[in-house]
Amino acid sequence: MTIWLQVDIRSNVPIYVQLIEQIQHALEVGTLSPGDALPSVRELASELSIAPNTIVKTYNELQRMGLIESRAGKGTIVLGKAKEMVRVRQQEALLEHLSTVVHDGSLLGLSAEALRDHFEQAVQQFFSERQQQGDKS
Amino acid sequence: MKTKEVLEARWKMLTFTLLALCTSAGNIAIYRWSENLREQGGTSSPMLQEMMQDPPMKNFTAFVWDHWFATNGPFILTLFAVILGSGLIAKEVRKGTIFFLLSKPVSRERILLTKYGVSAGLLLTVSVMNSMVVAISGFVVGEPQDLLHLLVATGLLWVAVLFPLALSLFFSTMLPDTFLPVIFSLFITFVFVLPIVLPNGLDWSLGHYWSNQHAYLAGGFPFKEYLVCLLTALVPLLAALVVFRRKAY
Amino acid sequence: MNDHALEVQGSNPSLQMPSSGTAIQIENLTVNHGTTPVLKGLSLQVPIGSIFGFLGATGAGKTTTIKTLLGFRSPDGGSARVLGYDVSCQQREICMSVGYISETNSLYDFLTISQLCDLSRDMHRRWNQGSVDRYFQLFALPSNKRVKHLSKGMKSQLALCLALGNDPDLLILDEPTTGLDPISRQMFLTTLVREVAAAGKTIFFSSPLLSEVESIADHVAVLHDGSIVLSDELDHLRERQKMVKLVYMEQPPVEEMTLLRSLPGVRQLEQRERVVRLRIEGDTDALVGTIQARPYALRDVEVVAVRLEELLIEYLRGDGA
Repeated sequence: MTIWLQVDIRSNVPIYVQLIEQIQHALEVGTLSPGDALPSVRELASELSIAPNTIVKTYNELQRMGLIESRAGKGTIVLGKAKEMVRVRQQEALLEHLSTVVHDGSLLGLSAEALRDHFEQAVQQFFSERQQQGDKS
Repeated sequence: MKTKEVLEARWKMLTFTLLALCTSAGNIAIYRWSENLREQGGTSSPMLQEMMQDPPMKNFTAFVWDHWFATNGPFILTLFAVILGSGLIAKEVRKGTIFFLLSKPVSRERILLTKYGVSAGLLLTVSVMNSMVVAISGFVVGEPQDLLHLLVATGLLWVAVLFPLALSLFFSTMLPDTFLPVIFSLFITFVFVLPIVLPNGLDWSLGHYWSNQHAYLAGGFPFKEYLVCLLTALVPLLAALVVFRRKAY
Repeated sequence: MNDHALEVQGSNPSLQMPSSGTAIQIENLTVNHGTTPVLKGLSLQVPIGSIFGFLGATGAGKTTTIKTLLGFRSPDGGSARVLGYDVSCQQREICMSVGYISETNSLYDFLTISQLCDLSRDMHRRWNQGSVDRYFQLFALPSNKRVKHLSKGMKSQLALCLALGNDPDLLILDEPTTGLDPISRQMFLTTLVREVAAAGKTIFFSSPLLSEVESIADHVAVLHDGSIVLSDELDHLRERQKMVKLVYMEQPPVEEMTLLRSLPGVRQLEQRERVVRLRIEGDTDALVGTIQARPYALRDVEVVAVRLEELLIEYLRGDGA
């Protein structure tokens, strides 16, 4: 499976972080699936024209996150639970975002009640819309 | 590395080969011309008559020694030697190519000795070429030279100019300039030759040991001369090695 | 060591180092030009397999450092090891395993490319002509052309080919792209990564250009006033250096500013009424947490990135450390 990765060397996001995010995104949208082999360190360094050490760092971090595994003879493989793990991680990030929303909201003068009401409203609207669509199809 | 050294010196080699050969050719032409004059009788000017009485002109062997091995030979080859030697290190430094050489896994001693060796080889080549011209001319004028004597004298001439070569190499390692080594080497050589002007100074003059008339005319191996030349060449060579070894670039 | 690092090294089996994982180890190096000190206690470590950018202003001593590593001059103090070999007495071993391009890249003008190649091969015991030929083809370098007729870009490429001829474990390059046009420069750098680094070799190169270092290096060191003022992984720098913009509800008092300045990790502080800008280094989250716990209410906290270039300029100027 070929995935297109890009790095912005001018960005202040560390390169290995950029790569991790892109690989996670690829997992999420399906251009990368469990069982796929990632390019070797050498190949990827060559393709992106960045230092091999950075690729090593990326793969090590992904391995630590439990998303990939290095297997002798087969190279670096995406693990089966990778997609799920990405989703879990994204959920966690979103929920943290939720805390920030609440915090900012209160700073802007919204009360706990108002926030709760708005949240309920949004949930109801979204899920009922989905139900309607489900009924139609 | 030897190829590169030879290629680097190609213009100097060409110039001095031509210079030496022209000198030889010129000398031989003079000899032939004077021979002709002698055969034609004394109808020429007093100056020429005087020249013809000059002992070296009496036969080709003496002529060759006087006009090549004793005078022009050492002079031209010394000049060639100092010019060859002056750039050996200094030019590399000036052009920046010294870093190319130093970054290779070859000892500094070996680099220096290879350069010296190639230059010595070029000097020998010119010396031998000229001697070949002498040998051939000997046959042409009907007075073939004794080849063994010729060989010994060629060798001595070569060993003699190893001293100015080593001097020039030494100054080349000390100075960043390619011109100053020529000046300094010539000056020091001159100083060594200078005692010849003093009374009883002949034995103290280095030039005295650069050729040996007796050996050329009559035979024998000028052992003392060879030894002196080799020893004098060794001193600046060793000095150059010491300097080059320790220099920071 | 982890699997992936081994994967990089494994592709170059000659990476058996006599020492512990640093390609270059410099300790307290002191070098004087006559009586003027140039390097004053320089210490540096270049990890094996890294692409290491060595930054410094012109005349700061980058070339002097490199010359000392290669044995062109001996140190006046301190020590240095290249691939485990001591620079003072094992120069030959170092030169056997190192590929070098000098600052001026002076080559013998009167030789043709193939003659220069023969010269290099002569002087090295270990030589891989096949790989050199491959690189010559890659760069389309004509063997019969004299060096003096080559463009600057081609000369740099030639120098790189020759530097790789002895299968070195380490490349030491002194400002290798100076004078090259942008296209040649890019090609050169790309080749370095693709052909050299990807094969597991270590690259140590000096450069006055931050952009160059940024684009391919994974480590950087800054030389200023004779010693190293910064040496770190580039990604690490990117991570650790941040700008935090705080907007307070009310303008905090001067004592608060003094306190903020004294917090660990705060390098610079600027204030304009209710807005405070902090240049911080290290754990951003912890520091922000500390600030938020302070009694002065914050309206907004924004973490903004610092351009690496700005950071490096700071160090080059000597504002760092």
